[in-house]
Amino acid sequence: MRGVKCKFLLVLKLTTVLLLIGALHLSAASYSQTVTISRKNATLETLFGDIKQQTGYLFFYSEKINTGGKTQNVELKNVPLTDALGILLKSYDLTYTIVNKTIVIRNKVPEEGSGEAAKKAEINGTVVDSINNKTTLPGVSITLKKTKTFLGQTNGNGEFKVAVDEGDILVFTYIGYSTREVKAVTGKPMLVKLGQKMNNINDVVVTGYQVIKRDNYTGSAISVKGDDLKRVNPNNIIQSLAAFDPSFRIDQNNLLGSDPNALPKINVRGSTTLPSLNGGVLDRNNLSSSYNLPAFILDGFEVSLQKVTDLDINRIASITILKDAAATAVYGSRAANGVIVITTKAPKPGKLQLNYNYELTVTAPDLTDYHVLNAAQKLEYEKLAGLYVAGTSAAYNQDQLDEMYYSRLKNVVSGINTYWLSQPLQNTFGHKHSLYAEGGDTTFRYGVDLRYQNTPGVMKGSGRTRYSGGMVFNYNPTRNLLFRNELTVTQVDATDSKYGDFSTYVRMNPYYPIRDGSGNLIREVANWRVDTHAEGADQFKNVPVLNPLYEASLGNFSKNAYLEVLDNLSIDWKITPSLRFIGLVSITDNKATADQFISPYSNVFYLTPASEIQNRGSYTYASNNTLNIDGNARFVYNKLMGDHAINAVLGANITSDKNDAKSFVARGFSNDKFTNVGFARSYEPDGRPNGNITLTRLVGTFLTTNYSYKNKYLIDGTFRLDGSSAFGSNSRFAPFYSGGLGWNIHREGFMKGLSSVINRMKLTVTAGMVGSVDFPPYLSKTTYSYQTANWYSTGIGAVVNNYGNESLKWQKTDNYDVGLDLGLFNDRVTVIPHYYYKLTHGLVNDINIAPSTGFSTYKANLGDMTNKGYELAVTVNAYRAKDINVNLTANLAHNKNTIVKISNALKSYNNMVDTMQANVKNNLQGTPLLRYQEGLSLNTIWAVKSLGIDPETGKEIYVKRDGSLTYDYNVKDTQPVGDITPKAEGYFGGSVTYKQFLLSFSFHYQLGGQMYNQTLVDRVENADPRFNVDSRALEERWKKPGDISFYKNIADLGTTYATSRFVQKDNLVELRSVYLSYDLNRIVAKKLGLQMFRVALTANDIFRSASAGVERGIDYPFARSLTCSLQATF
Amino acid sequence: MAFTSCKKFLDVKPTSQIEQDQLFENEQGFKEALNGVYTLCAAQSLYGGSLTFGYLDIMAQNYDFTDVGYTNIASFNYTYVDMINRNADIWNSSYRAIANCNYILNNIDKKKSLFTGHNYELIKGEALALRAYLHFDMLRMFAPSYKSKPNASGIPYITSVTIKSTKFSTVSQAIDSVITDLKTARTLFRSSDPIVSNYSVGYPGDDGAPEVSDADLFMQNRRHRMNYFTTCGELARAYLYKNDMVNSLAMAREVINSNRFPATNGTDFNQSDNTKKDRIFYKELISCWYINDNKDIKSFLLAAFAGDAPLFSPTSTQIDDIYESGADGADDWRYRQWFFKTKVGSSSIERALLQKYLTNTAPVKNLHPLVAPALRLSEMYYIAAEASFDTDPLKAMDYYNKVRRSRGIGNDLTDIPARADFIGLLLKEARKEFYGESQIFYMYKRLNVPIKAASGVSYPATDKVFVIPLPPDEEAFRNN
Repeated sequence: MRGVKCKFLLVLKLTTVLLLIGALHLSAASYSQTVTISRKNATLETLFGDIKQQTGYLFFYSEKINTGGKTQNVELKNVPLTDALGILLKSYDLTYTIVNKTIVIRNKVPEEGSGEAAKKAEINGTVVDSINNKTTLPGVSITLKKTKTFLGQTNGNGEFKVAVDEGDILVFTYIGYSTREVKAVTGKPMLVKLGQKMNNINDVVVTGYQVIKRDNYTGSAISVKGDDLKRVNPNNIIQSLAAFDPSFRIDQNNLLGSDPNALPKINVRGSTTLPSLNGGVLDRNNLSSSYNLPAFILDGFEVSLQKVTDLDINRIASITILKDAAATAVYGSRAANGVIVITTKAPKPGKLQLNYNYELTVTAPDLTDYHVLNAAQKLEYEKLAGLYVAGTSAAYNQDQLDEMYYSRLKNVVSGINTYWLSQPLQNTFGHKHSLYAEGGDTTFRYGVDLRYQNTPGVMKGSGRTRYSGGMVFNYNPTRNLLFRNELTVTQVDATDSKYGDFSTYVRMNPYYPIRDGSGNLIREVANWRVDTHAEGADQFKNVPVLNPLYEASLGNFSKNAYLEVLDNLSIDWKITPSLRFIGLVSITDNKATADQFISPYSNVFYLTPASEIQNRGSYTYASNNTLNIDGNARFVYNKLMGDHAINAVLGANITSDKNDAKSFVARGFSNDKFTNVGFARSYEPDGRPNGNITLTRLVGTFLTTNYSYKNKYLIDGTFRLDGSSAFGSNSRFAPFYSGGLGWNIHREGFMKGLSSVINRMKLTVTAGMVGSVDFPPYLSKTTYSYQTANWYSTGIGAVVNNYGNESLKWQKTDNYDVGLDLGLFNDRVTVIPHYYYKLTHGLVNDINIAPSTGFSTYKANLGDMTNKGYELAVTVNAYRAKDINVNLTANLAHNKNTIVKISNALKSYNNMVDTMQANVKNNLQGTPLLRYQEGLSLNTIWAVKSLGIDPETGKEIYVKRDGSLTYDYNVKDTQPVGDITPKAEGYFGGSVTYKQFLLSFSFHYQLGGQMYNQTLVDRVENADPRFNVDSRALEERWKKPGDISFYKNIADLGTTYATSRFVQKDNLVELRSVYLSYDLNRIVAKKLGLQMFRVALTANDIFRSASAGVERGIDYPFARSLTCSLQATF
Repeated sequence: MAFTSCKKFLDVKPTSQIEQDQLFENEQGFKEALNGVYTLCAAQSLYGGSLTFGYLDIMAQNYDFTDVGYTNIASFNYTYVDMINRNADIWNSSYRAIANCNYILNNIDKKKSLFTGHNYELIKGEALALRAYLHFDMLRMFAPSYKSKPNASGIPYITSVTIKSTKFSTVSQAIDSVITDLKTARTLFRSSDPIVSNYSVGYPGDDGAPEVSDADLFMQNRRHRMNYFTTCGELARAYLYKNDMVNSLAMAREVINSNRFPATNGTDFNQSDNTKKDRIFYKELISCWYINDNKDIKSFLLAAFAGDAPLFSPTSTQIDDIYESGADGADDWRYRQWFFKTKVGSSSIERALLQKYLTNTAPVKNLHPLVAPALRLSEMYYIAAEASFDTDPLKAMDYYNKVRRSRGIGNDLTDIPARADFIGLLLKEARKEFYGESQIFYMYKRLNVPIKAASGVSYPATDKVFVIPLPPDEEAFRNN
């Protein structure tokens, strides 16, 4: 409600502004319609200038017309414009037409019948689509090649009639189709077939600061059209983008699976930063998603990953992934991890056009990787694991154990076999409606979009609902000036499932009933007596097994929401035909809140002592306001002078990001009906409110130029100077630069003969240096914190936080790229290979210092890392016939990451990891933790080498560092045992069009990497036999001497450590998406009053085949989805 | 022009943390930075824990443990991982507090004009005194004693803010640095510290609320911070450590003769009403660390000295032995008030739980806030006794008897004993007085005498016992 009101007000304001501008324009336009000129020996240009000044009319003529040389004496007084023009042009071979206040000057066409010109013939014909030869194309422009005269357009049925000489070349142009030249033939009607441009977006590269012809660009960039993106995965922009470029890599998040509220972890061409240590120990699951993230630029402004994931895919015109230095250097200190440039659709002129889109998404949890034991198997497993033999634990005697066993057996025999896994899950139906209206004339265009989208998750109750609305105005008061304002309001509500972590259900024993005899949920389903090995009364402890479904039945909730208002205003001014000025300002205001309520009846408080009963129940509230202001201004210069083409941009930008977070925890609720925070008894005992404000600012200025000679030889150069508030005060400004060379070999004379085979062959070489600032602001300053929670008797104290390194700098990445762009058989086959090398130096890193300095570490630029790799993309137009067109695509990426140099702090971190891993209390023995070593990859798997299980004893044989064998595990023998980076990763797929149908599919594959199979450790060997386990724990473990088994003795309840035994090949093929659509024939659609009508079906994540059997989606399962969509344009 | 304004734009001031330059923009900032050092000192890794009752007192064999971790500490197993970590924690925290002092000292002379009244002298004096106090304790822990090896490598004495490691001073150089800083501080205090001229010591609830009545919070509780008499007392300690009896005696006498710190009244100490009970001889403290508001330490103290399984507790026999209850110690106030004899948990051994650091839980009030003693008057008497014995044994015995009498022990020492015997008597007394305050460990070390454990084991006076090894990080990451 608030959002709507806010938007309405803004619209009012905007309208006022626009009206004002319009009024100004009107007053300026009140020129006279007559001319008075008195000049001697004047050239035509001078005279045109006079007329322009007096009438406001503009002149338009090409360089080819003959105006030069002659001068004339003119004496005109209050002569009407048309007469004046007649007089002025009399002595030239020129004619004119007036179009909408513009005077177009053309060469006079030789008059009919005069001289030796051949006879004009009446030629007629039809223009059709080359793919099905049936769809006629209305509105195709036809020009005469010789004179460039416009001859006319095809009518509604695609028919045309022109009068030309036989043998003249006609040029047919139509939006979305390749231009075609045809020789005019008389006699019979001509049939002209136009081929659709395969990917017209691929002809240009959008860098966010300019749009450059692909042919003249040396940088490495991949562009994807919004429609293609939608075809792959209509529900996840990031997932679908990955299919077009495998070097845009999404890390598998095995913990959060298909949680609609989880943010993906992304890197482009490998990691260029080290994860920040902050004192903790890292395994791959706790790396933050903001680490190594590329910069996202939406319509010229940097936005967050969250913003991109919440974007309406229907609004996207194109996404460009910029990868090498030549492409990204204009972004300077933000460029080292790549730049993703997203442009949204601009409104098209014309009468009001409505575009409606509906999607229904059905999702179902994917549990194929879960193999848990059923009730009977579980009990058998418990018996084999020795759970019912006295002596293994002092907690029970044999009688008690027998009683326990038989009571469970009774449950099993009586038919209790609860499938806990399905309890928190659901199949979901998500809806999306989006409506886009656009229209207007050439001076004023508008677009309005509205969207509602709900994405329920497969865990009951989880989901994400997005509402957004936006308005775009394009206003051209004159041909040379364009104002554009875009306002978007987005509201997102996210809810987490109150069913908790999925892993809790996976662990529950199938012989536990959910409800008691009278149908009530059982809260405590079991109670284990555990020997704590402590002295005295504390030796035994009762550990209850609590029913997670009981928890889910309470009034708990965890939700967050944000409201974002974004306004972009831009001015585009063509100062001269070759010089433009573009200015943009953007303001984003995001208000986010998070609310979490835990019921006083929650299992969390099950063991709360009676004295604390009034403090049960908690409410956590957090708010985060972000205000982002971004402005940039640039001059764009484009000039073609004979064989020389220059394209240059000089610009500057300035951004400011403010983040204001506050939070508090309230405690003590009497029940879970009154969940408002106002019902809380008090704040958390000894708690206090938290608040944090961060502010970062960036100022940059840049110059980028492209020069090409005869479209053959290309040179690119970019320089950018960035200043950031995060840099130390000793080095506030950082220069970044790049250069590129390109050679369009296909334009060389010696390639002429091959042009039917090789139609494009471009070689590019680029190099440059870009940066990243992946450290929090203020690290470069010495700051104090107030000890607010702990006052001294004589007042509050302020304590130094860190040693501020005033010389702290950005990280620099040297970037080299060689690429080839090959088009064969008129682009029926394209092959684009690239090789790159990135060296990141000055990694921001903790440096250990003697603690007597008062600090144990400080941040400095120390450490180098390289990433090198290659990419290959191939597209083949495999089959083309009357009604059928088959395209195949495949891509591949390989990246190798190497740590070249690291600081002493990272080395001592490795020692700390050893200690942590060896400490039983941390429960980390079975997890391979991250360690760093020079010469190895960041993605190395560290564990102790193992030869497997000794068939005689069922014990594991370890290899010590010196190569000797032992049964005794020692954390110091930890070595690199694998690398999770695949040797090759990519996608392959294809699309088939048949008449009005389009079928496309996309497979993802990865080869040659390794993985540490955590499931085998956690769920087979280290599995607590008191809870449910993976079926392999029963079926495949060593049971008696002579068994050759992968798994150790079933009765061995000792800890299994991280060893190479669990390192497995990680090869994978999965069918990520299949898409089928049907477009209603245009003619039929027209009859129904529609311009376009399409129904489509997308299925995502339907098939998967992997070499390692892992439970996927630990806390939140993965899901498969099917989306039906309907798109209509009125 | 554009460049400088750009620079200004980029010079973002943090708002929820505060930048050094901003903090030291006014007098209040200096006060807050100084309070910050006290907060650090009162933390659990320093005087709110390890350096008062939690670590050095374990080494002084004051408690009895079954727990493996504490047994390792009590037997000086310096290679034990937990112990390495504890030592590193103490070392790092001390030097962190020292760095905080140095930040103040780095800035204060440049900003002298900001200060009103005597605040410049007070703040500078306190920062210097704290720096000396902390360094002296590091020296007493991590370096050989002056008596055993005065020219051995001691500790780095840090006087500036830098990330370059400072060279180690020898033991005697380090003591001299301590003395220099303390002397400068003492001079600064002499004319500025209200405790010198017009100050009365008492409980916060006394009539007129002495010590907490000043309108400026910063000027309250002079004894919770470094003051003129702390510098005198600490100088007495330091001179004694380097065997300079003359100066040591002079300094101890100055404190004693000032009569600023009245002896605690028997009725206050032997109170049965907990809300009126002085648990620590509050009025006799020259300086102490305020830990009343630190919830973590308060709950740690409860776990340490109360409940079913107190972490730190001696057996009753151990206490009987220390306080000589079989001889003339039976009526010792401390023996009767500081310990609560009880059986805990399922154990059959009776334990004596230390009552010194317990507070009444809110809202029931206490007579005085919870503090950890930094320097107490009785120590001045012990120092004076030791320093004057060679020249005036009767006077020395008088100092000794005075403390005993004020603790309820009736029979005075009348015959002049041999010096070694007198030192032995002093040690016994000091151990009673300093129970749970760690000073006794330093005394053993200074005098280079073995430490006797209740079990009958005696740890010989060697560097293996007395010199805590440097933390591995200090050795690994220094470059000189």
